[in-house]
Amino acid sequence: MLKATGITKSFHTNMVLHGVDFDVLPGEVHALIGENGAGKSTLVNILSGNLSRDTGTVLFDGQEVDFAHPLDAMRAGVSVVHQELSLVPNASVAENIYLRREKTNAFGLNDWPAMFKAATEIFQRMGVDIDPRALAGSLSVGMQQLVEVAKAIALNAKLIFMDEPTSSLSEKEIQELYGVVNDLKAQGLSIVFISHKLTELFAISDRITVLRDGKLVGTRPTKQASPEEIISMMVGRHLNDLYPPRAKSIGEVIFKCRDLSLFGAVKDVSFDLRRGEILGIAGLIGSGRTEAMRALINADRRLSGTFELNGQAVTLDDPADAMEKGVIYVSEDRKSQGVFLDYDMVRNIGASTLDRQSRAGMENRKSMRQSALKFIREMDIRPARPGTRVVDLSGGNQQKVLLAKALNARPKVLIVDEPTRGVDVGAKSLIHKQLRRLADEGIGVIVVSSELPEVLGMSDRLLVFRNGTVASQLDNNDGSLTPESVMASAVD
Amino acid sequence: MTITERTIEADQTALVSRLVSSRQFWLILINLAVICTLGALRPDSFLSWINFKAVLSLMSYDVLLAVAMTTVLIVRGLDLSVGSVLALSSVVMAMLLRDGYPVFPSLLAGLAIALLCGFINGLLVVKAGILPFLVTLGMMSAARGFATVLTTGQYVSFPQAPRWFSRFARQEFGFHIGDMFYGIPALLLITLGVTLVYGLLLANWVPLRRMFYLGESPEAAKLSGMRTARLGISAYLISAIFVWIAAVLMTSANKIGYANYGISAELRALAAAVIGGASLAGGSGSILGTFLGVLLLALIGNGFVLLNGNPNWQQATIGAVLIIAVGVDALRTFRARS
Repeated sequence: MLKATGITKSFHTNMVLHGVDFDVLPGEVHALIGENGAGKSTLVNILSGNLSRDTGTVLFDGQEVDFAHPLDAMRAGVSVVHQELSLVPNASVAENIYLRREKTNAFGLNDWPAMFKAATEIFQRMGVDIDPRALAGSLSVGMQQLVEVAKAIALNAKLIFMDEPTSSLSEKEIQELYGVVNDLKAQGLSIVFISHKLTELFAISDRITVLRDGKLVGTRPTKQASPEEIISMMVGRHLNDLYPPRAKSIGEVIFKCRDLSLFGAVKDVSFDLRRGEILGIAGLIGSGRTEAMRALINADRRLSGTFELNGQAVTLDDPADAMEKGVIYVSEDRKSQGVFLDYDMVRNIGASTLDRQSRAGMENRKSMRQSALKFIREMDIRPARPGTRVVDLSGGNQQKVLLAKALNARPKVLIVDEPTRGVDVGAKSLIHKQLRRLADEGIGVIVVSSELPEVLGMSDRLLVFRNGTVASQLDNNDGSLTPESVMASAVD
Repeated sequence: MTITERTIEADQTALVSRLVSSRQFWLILINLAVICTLGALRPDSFLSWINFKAVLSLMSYDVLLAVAMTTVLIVRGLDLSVGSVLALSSVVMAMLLRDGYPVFPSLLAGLAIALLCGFINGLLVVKAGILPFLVTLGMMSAARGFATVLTTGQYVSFPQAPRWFSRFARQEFGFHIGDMFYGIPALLLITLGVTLVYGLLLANWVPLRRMFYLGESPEAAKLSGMRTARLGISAYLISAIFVWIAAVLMTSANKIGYANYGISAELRALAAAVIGGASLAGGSGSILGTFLGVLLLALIGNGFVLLNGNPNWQQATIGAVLIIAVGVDALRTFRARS
């Protein structure tokens, strides 16, 4: 059906796909799996005409193709059901299925009966019961997903990519989707199923392909593969010696979190943080890691949660209150929730400490500048000019400014979410050293990261999140924890 | 050299380039250019004390409203209701004065009504998350409508009110040079004084400095420990205070309250603030810049009057200046990115 050979893709100087081979047989459900950033989405985007490839060939139905646009791919019979649904909520289901290809009557107007009839036929073929007259926006997420599939079928798709289709579906909806997938397979369609959930892939797929760091690790027939084998293919063997040494001594509990819950995202999270240790938080995207940390400082209204800081009960009413008490969260979203892009380093680093660095209520720019200079030296921020706007800094230096802003506010507990996302190797190791130094100085450090090598390399203890709660607590003080054991508790 | 020395040196050379690239610097130059041009074309009428006084006095209200607008723009807000709330506040004060209430309670009632409008605006924008454009568009209509209903659209004069009140705004303070008396009306002095003090506070006082961070990035400000909801609502309340000051001065200077005060003043205020460097995207703006923006628009208006130009061109020119100002900004951002 589809045979891709030697697909390569780079963004700027960053190579994200290294000569990947991938093929799909007719009437097959082929699972594509890999860690975040392994290159799954890029591969799908290339095969569906959303991105161009640098090198490699793609044969579809025996013919060499080079889709310049998703529409070309659709015409040829390749459709994608994206994770983010793209239905028009205020139009009917039938209109959505035939969007921009509306069936028209002799007057050039929408031929509603024909569209409803055709849509009904497609739903019958899929074996689902959806009213084509209903507004798309009134359907549940699961139903909308099925409408997306119907849209692909209306385009006579022969190959459908489904990008994490079950990530926001209920168990019942997932079963319904499985039914549809099996029906379509029986009718000779091929489906590429992208998912993080191993159980799901084993339940539905015929073959599994694993990508890691933009390279093909291998393709296995599902019947002959075991979940352990797939996990070890996903994580591979990562080097561990780039990280600073672990905690020399671990002291008393400095921060306690109990029964932290956030509506729909976090359930009953409890943990302790000890003096001197770095607590790592791992879990797949959507597992509730970030939501839990934001709920901790009450950035989003939490349902419940009690906290103790150095033996004293504290409330942490809102981020400002948490910061006054010394609990500081550094966001994963550097550009929109971290730094103030258009402001210079002085204003950024001083943002959390305007009160402390003031004289008679007026901003003390000299003092703000001094702290900025101090952090510029300590963290080797370049260019070393405090008047440089943050937008003009590289990603790594922006991240250092963000960390400096938090440190300037003198944290007792510092939570860093994805502290090295999009950061070069040099800045990364500097940030890691800083975090270890803070822990050695007695500040409680929590590192949230979706990069397994990073959490494993940094943390003395690890919480693995799954479905909004702590799935397991793993000890890592001797650094012996393996990616496999973490993955095993992170996936369903 | 140590890092510190190198940094200071680099910052000093940066100072000159910062000055040249600053908004205020160019606005001062442009204003001077307009003054010189008009002075050369109409030396007698333009360069007279009376003309200056008239231009500056007339622009006082616009300065106050533009300062109000700048404040909400800084927090990434917008206030289209400044002109209408001015009218409502003026009408309420004039009616109370007419009915024989003492001056200060009447003025406080005017302040209360302005603050109430500002609070509703702020609450709906900040807490309910409705677009400021829509909220304040509604308030603009509601306040104007309410003022008209209260007065049935008539002027409200207050002959029984203490005479000092109906005089103070036009009261002139000044000095003699030779036989000439150079008087500056209280209206203008108050406006300049209030604006100057507020400008200094906005540039230095920590609680006001936080508003810039909020406008630049609300989420980052929240996670930097700022109480963003409180800050956002405060901006609308500060805006209301300036609207009230303008209402007091206008009511006193004209000796009447009127429901049609300040029609389309919100658009002039917005234009002046944006020309002065404020942005609808929040996080920027200065009182000096806004003042220079109002001055530029006032000089252009004055020029058309003095040169016997068709006054209808005035509006078109203001529009063109606004588009040029934002166009230059867009160009600079575009260049900086590429």
